[in-house]
Amino acid sequence: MKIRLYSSIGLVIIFILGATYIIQNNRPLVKNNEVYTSVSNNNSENAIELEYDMSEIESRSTKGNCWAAIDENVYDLTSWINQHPGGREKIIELCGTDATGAFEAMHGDSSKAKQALILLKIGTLNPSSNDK
Amino acid sequence: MTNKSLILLRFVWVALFAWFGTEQLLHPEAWAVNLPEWTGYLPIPAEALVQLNGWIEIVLATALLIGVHTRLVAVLLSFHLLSIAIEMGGAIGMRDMTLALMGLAIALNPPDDWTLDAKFKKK
Repeated sequence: MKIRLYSSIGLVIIFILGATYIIQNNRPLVKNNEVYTSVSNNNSENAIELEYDMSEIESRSTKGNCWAAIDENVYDLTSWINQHPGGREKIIELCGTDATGAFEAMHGDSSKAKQALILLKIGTLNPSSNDK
Repeated sequence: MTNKSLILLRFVWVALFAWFGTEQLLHPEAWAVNLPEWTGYLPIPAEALVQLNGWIEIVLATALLIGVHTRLVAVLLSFHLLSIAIEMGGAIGMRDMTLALMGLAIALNPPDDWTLDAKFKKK
């Protein structure tokens, strides 16, 4: 009976320690009255927006990595490949490209699809890079 | 339900939640899109919520693996999965609901022989 009780207490302690670590690790950081998030600095309004050329997006889309431009923004879709409800292939074929047309054709104004993109944004597309 | 089939069902369920829990811990950004809209009002970042959910699933899967409070843990995980099924809807919702009902089968039976619950009940 004691082993069962100790196991339960042990699991509760492990849960509390893990949950505390997760919350501490994701806590917003306040610096000079500006709020930074510890995980997704790229998604914070106050974070510096990085600009990328199409050539860099193409070069970053090697085996194991997948970047794409959609509507003048740049996204790292690597982690999304295995999570995409419509299948891996639909994302893989967009790697290294300006996928604005494909995204709009598939999702239109879907708020859920746009919400997914917000979390994957890493910067903006250099406006002059498309003119080259 | 026979003892062997109950052990098999319990271990399959452990594997299911251990896998999903680990994925949520390692890739929270990919799972945050599945959070219900009301979680946006919570003072916790979406990625932290996903990781917390993953951590809960891993801890409960561990409890199910060693067999402490097996029936209670099975009920908790079933209702957790049921709420996800209702939120997701469609084909994914149907699949999750089936899995949730499989979990209820664990809860509706006495703990199998390979659980701590059964070992200490016999004494």
